[in-house]
Amino acid sequence: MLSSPDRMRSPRRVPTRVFADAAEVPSRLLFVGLLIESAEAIRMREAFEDSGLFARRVIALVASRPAGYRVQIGPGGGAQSVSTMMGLQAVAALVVLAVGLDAAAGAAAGLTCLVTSGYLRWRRAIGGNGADQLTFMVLATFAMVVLAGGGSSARRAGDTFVAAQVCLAYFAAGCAKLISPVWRSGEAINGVLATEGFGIPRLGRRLSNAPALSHMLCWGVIVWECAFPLALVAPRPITLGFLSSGVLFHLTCAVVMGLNRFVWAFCGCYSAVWLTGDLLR
Amino acid sequence: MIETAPGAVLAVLWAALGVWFLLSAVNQFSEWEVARFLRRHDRLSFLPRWTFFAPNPAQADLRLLWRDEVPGVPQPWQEFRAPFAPRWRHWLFNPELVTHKALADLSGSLLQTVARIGEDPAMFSGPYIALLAVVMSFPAVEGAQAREFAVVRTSGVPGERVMKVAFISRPHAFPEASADARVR
Repeated sequence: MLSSPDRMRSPRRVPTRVFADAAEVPSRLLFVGLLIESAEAIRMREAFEDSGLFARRVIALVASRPAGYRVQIGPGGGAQSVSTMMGLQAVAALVVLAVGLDAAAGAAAGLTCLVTSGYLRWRRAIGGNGADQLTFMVLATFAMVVLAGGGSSARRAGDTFVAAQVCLAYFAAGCAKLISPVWRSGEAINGVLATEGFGIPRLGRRLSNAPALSHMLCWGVIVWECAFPLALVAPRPITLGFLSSGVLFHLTCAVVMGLNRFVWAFCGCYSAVWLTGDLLR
Repeated sequence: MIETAPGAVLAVLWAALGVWFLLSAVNQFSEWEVARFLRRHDRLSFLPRWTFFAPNPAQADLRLLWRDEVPGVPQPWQEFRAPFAPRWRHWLFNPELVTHKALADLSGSLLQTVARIGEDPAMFSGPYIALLAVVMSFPAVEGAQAREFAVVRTSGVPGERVMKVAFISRPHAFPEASADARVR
C-alpha cells in the first residue's frame, strides 16, 4: 500500500504483475471507503444534533477520552461541524483518488483524511467497526511514514505493519471463532443472518434448515481466517488465492450483511500483504 | 522513490510500528490484566480488538423502546426509530448501520453491566444513563409525569418474529419545570 512501485519493476517480479501495473489502485480503495464514510455521516447528520443518538451530552456519558473531550462535547462537536469535517474529508479523499499519495497534494489530502477520520471517531465514540479501525490505523501509519521522510524504506516499513495488522485481524478473529461454541456448532452464521441488522431473516431461516451447509460455512470462515497469515509466506499462487477469496468474502458480507466499508478498508490493504509476502519469500 | 531518511529515523519508525503491533497483539487477549491496562490508557483507540462477530455473534436485533406514564395510565410503548437500510443499497451506502450499531453497542453494554453487577447498580452506569438521555429527549404525551425504557431482542422473519424483553428500566420522572415545554 505504501510501497513505491519501483520495487515491483524488478525483473524477478515481472511474472506476478497482478498488482504491479495497478500498485496504486488497491491502496486507493481505502479512500473510496473514506468518501463513502463522509457521505454516510452527512446523511445522518441529524443524529449528531442535541436530540439525536450522538448528541454531545449522550456521548459525554459513554466516552472516556479526555483528549477528545472538546471535540466530543465542545463547540466543535455540533452537527454542523460534523458535516463540515465530512465535507472536507470527501474532498480530500477525491484528491487522493485523483492524484494518488505520491503527489504532494495527495499526501496532504491523505493527512487531512487522518484528521477528519480521527475527528469522526472521537466525536461519534460509539457505533464504529473494524473497517473504521483499520482505516484509521492505515492513515496514522501513513503519517508516520511521511514523518520518516516517505522514502522507499519507510514505505516498506508501513507496508509491513499494515500487512501484519491485516493478518492479525483475520487470525485473531479466526481464533475467537474457534473457541466459540456457537461458531463450532455451525449455528453462528444462520443466527446472524436471522437478524435484520446484519442479515436477511429469510436466508437465515433457510440456512437453519440446512445444518450441514451452515456447519460448513462456519468452519470455512474459521479455517480461512486462522490460515490467512500463511498468505505472507506461501507461494504466490496461494497468496493470490487468499487475497481473491478475501475480496469475495468481503463482497459477500457487504451484499448479505450490509458491511459495506469493510470491502474498501480490508481489500485496500491487500497490496501491502502482497508486497510484504514478496519481502518474506 | 528515493531513500531520504537517515538510518536512525528508520530505526525509530520500525521500532514504533513494532511496538504498536506488539501491543495490538496483546490487546486481543481481553482477559489479560495487561490488556485491560492497555485499554484503560488507550484513550485514542489506537489498539484494535479484532473479533468480527466472535465469540458471541449477534443472534438477535436489540431495539430500544419507551413509554410515558400519565398518572395511573401507562401509555403504549414506542420504538426508537433506527431503520435498516434498504437491501438494494446497503452493500454500498449504509449510514443506518452506524446508528443501528451504536444502539446495539449501548444496549448490549447495558445488558452486560446488568448481568455483571445487577439492575440497581446498573442504573448508575454510563450506558443506562446514556439510553435514558436518548429517550428523555423525545416529546412526551400530555400529562405525562414519568418515562421508562426497555431493551428488546427480536429475531426471525416478519410475521414469525420472536421477541424477548431483555431489560426494563425504572420509571424516571420528568423535571416539573420543563414538563410543559416538553408536551407535544
